[in-house]
Amino acid sequence: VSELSPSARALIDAARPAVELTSRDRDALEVALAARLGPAVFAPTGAAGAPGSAAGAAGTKAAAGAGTKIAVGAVGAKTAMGALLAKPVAVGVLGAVAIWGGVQVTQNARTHNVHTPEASSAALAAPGAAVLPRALEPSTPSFDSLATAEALPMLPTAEPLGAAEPAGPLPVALPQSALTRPRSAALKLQAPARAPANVLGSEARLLRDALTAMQAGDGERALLLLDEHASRFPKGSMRGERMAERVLILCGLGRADVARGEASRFLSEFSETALAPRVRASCGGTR
Amino acid sequence: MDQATSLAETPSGHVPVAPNLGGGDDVGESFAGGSEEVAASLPAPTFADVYRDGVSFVWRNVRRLGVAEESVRDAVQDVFLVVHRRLESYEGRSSVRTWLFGIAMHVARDYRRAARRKALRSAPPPPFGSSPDPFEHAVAAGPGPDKQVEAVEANRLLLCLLDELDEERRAVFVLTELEQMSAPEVSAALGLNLNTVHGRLRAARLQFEQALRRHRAREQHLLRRVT
Repeated sequence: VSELSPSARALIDAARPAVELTSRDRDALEVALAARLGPAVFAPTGAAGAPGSAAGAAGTKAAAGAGTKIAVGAVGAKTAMGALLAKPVAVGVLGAVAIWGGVQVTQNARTHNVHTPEASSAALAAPGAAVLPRALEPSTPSFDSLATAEALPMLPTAEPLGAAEPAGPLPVALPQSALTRPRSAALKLQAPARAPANVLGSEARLLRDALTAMQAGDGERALLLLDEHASRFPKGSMRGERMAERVLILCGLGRADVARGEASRFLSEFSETALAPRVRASCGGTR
Repeated sequence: MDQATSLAETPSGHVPVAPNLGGGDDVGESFAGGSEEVAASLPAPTFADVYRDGVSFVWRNVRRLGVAEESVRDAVQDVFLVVHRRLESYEGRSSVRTWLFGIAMHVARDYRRAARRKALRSAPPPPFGSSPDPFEHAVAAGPGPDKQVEAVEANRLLLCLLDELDEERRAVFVLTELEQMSAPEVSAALGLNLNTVHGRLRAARLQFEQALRRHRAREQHLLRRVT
């Protein structure tokens, strides 16, 4: 069989970088798939080469069957960095569900220091966004501890949770403009998936924005965003994530006393969840 | 190791034909432990496995199989909805990639048909060669200062040229020349015998080269007009 001409070959090679999946597209895709199949389809499986993968896989299948559980997924954790990179862009539910993965990444980034082409292209697409390494190997031990299958199920999405909302700081309404920055890539979901994904997307954005604010050193704004989430979605699907995030942000602000109260409220309800170990390990934990 | 480098690459050689969990070129999406060991310890991949291993591959190729840019995300989503439905029936007989490609081909076909129907309902497509010339843009933009811009332009042209191949040849061409799969792998992916793969590849290359020559000629013409 004859080979291609050098000119044709050169064209194909030159085009290659343009067809890479960007983190933005990936986030949106995962939101759409999670909305259709249940977020648990992205649950960790142990397939990252960790021992006990068979149990992990079984756990995932069970969780996928349940369909209404939110899992902190390996895929989501990887996505979290994408979400941070593409700041003004629609963020995946999974990206935000895995905010903790994102926190993890920022911590691991120094040691891992992995830079992917996807990260590069996302940075290209969103000039001005901080260039952060995106990849977090799913096999990272600290991540596994967050995302074991046993930690599932975590947060029921369908039913409101029984306990009343913790009082926390007073809810303060942020100026609308601060919350509804234009997002260049609106999520394109198929009709049946639209409503839940949009709600999840809004929740996810608030929590992601809070994290971003925290990382930018604006802890007070981060808390305001969490309050905004609390007032808009008092019983939202990501209520547990919000509470845990608050603990970590308070710790970041050096307010361990308040953090301890928040942490115990969180742990009284969500002690069996994937986020609990992080909260216990934080300044709010009682170790 | 320089992960950034390896991530950017599609396989530089031929991917082994032996059943495994994908060609494994998507470092960062593939299994951390190396695919051989994992294949041994993981007989049945889960949805998350297949997704992680294959999402970039599907994304690249759905577009190359003729799905319009604005529909790529939906098409990729559909591919993985099928994956989710049919995961039980995937028994590791082929690599994940070849299995995914088969699904992607079906999905892409549906999208192309839908696009054609929509085009027929709205306006008749402009005759080939009329303005806006799909190739003209690539010329007008010129070589960008940026590698990424260059890549986008090259890809635009590449997709136009692929559009000139018929569906069967296109699939063989994409897998061989763009994904750099071996002929036996392509035959497994498309359910064709080896001779057919070689025959279609030869025809596809010829057609592709001709389309490229036509484009270059037009490009020269346009450049002369500009200068």
